[in-house]
Amino acid sequence: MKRKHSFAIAGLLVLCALLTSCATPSKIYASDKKEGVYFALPQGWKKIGQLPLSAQESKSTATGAADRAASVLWQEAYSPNHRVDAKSVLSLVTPEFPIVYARVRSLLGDEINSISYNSLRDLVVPLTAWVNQTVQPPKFDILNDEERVEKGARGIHSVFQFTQVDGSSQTIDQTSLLSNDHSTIYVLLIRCSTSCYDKQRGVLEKIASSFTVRGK
Amino acid sequence: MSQMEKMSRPRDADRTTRVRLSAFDRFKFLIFFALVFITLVWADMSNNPILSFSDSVNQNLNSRWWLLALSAIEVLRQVHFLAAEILAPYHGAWLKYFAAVDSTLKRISDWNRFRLSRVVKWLLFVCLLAIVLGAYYKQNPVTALFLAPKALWGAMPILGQLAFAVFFVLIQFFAMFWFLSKGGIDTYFPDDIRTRFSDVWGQDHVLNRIRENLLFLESPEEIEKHGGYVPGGLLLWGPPGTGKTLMAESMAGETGKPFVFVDPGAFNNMFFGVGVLKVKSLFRKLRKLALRYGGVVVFFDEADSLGNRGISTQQGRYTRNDTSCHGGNYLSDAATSLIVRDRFVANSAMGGGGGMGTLQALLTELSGLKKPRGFFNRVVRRTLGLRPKLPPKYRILVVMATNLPEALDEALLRPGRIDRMYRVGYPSKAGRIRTYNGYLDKVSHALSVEEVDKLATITPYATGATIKDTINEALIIAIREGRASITFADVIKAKQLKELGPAEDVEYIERERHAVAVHEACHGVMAYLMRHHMSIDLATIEKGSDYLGMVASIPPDDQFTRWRTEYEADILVSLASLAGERMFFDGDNSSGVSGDLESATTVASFMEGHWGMGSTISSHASNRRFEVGAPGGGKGKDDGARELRHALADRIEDNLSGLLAKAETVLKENRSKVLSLAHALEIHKTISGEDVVAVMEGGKGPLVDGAPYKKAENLEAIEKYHQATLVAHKGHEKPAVQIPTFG
Repeated sequence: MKRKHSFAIAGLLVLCALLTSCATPSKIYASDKKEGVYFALPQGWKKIGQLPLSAQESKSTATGAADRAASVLWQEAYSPNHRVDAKSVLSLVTPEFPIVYARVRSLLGDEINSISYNSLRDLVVPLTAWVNQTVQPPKFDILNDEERVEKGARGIHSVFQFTQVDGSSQTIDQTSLLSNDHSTIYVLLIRCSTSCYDKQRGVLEKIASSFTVRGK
Repeated sequence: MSQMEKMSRPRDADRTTRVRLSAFDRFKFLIFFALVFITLVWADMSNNPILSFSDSVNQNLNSRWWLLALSAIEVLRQVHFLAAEILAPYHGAWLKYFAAVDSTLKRISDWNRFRLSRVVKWLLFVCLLAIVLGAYYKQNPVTALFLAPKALWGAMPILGQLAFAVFFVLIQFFAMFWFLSKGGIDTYFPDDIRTRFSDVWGQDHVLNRIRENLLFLESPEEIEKHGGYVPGGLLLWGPPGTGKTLMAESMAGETGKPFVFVDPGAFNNMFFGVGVLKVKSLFRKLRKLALRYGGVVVFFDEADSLGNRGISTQQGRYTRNDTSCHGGNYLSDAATSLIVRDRFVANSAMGGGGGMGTLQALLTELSGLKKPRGFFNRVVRRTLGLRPKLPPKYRILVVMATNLPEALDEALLRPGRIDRMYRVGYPSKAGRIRTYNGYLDKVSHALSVEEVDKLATITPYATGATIKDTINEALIIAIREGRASITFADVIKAKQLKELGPAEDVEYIERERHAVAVHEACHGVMAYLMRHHMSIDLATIEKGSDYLGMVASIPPDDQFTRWRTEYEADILVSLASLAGERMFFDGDNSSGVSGDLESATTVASFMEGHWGMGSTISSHASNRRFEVGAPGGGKGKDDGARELRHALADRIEDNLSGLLAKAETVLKENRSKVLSLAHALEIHKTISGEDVVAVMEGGKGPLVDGAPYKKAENLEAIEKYHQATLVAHKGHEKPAVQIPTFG
């Protein structure tokens, strides 16, 4: 009896070991433990690492771009489309597939003084100005705008769609958080053409909600 | 019974299957691995707040594959064990396999197996190190192995600091021991010392032997070409002050070789091992000197400070021998007993000053293994396949001096270490004359040759040191009296001062003074009349620290045997006080005779029981040792002992009674002589032997003129004075008559 018991346990253990050894995690866990930033994506997405992104960013000639590039602490991008590159990540051209872009940057002196929830909303497009009609806005719609409080930071989570000059419609899910000591901003940007976004809303919303900032 | 058989544990060889493992032993590693795995999963989850448990498990299953591999190996092992427990053929096959492996291994020699296992261990260590380093540097293990030296180089500063700290701590000990192991050793080179053998007086026989040793050291070929060897050790022993150190100094002056003087305190050390270091460094130095100069003399002064290793080794020559022909014969009984006590005390405290391995180190250095020395000789030559050269002949002459030869370890004195032992005794009369002349020559003096001869005669146990001291004391006496030149009287005074100490300034009352004087006069007259082997040195009635008065005698010649008549004369002199006091004080006698009776009885006992000078022949010492009775004694053991003592005591008493009667007769016949000498003593307090002779013979002494004692009226006056003091003695009053004075 005892012998059979031992056999059973040994066999079970071997089986467990064999089965689990080929298992893979259900998600990609992107993180920068040093900055305390985490988010999860579905398996199979392509990663664009920090190096190509930095290289692409250094090509920019916009005012203050060099300073901003120098103050980036961590950035990573993911897309289910394996042809996506750093250039398409860092441009506002409407993509036909989701692009997830996370960025952690320490703030420059002036920015620390002037940063507000509105300036967090205006990171990618001048959303506040569009709402206040201070500039001629394109056709746009704000789908969600809420405060987001994390352990190490707080800020705004907003989802909006707008029509580009070329007539394409793009939806952006933007989470921009300011660290508690006002020194760092954490951004997670998910964007896609509106039709694509609508199609994959469930997956994309899950990614947005997995964005966790613990801070340093 | 059958149950008992069942219970009995089968031998390993009788088993067909493996012994069953306990359940815990079967799973303990798996449980451990599982715990490690769970810990790792938990650690990952705590590091990533969005990580789910299942994903963490999955991640770990992927990344910690080695844990799974270990688990799999463990499972395989357990399956193997289980199979061996169940299946006899399986177990048997493995046993056969292991036996084959064992027999293969046994074909390799033990030494090769050891080397193989060492290589395997090293390889394993390197592999493990490579894996660990690989994990650390996130490189493949081989690359990591090459990165490690670089990291080690980077860590050099901190390693250097650590090494310095260790060095800093150790250097203090090294320095301390180095400094402690120095000192106490002086090296003299030829011509450093001006003392020569001609400066050592009265020890020619020893000097000749020492000269011989030095000769062999200076030209070793003389003896070595005949197959002999240079005697390596010399022990000078003898009473203090007889010139042992002076001899050593003269050796240093005479020899053409370096002379190393070892301080007696050199081996007293505070720390364990310092003495050993000292001995080693001393002999290293000696070997160097011996090589460079062809020989070296090392002198250990007061060698007894080296100590010994306890009483167990002290069954040697000194304790076995009777004191009458060796060992302590130069010492008085009191001194001998002191030495014996010393030895016991010293031994109970484990040796003398050296201790703690110092003596053993010395013994080994004196005659240890002739081992090859030097780094080049031992290591380099051997590396090149050459045999190390044997050490050259180190010609080291070890000289030791001690006044306590019994305190030396027996092993130290064996031939090969100390080859020759010379007793440096009291100098002969010729030596004493030479010594007196030597010291007298350094001061201004008025002593004639005869007077110096006489001085040497009356100071039989004088050593160089005491002679020097006496002459110096005489000089002080002369200077105190305002003279620059020493006279014979000064020397005699100095000698008395040295021997007797300063007299206590006590004034006897008249009748007691007379009694003491009569007591001493009886001794003096008896000594003058009966004791011809000794001459009177001085007589005194000045009270000293432990005597009321005394008559001291000295042997006029160096004499080495004693005779029965001499001992009888000694006893007569001792008993004279008792006989005289009884005679002159109407049968009364004082307690002052106790010492005299004691010495008389002692001598009489030895005569009767030991020296064959009594009425029987057998030795009391042997009788007592073998527990036989005395001649004509009892039968039983106890009775025998009592009878023995009884018979012996009776015979001693008989002997003493006879001698007392003889003393009485002699004194009765010389009544006037006794009273005359007593008178001279009362007048002068202390007189010399010549004065005694002057009183006896009516001649002229240095202090006393003996002529008046030949006149009848003077003798009458003395007798009258004696009668008056006798009356006073009985009535405890002042004598009616004053002491008469002549001239």
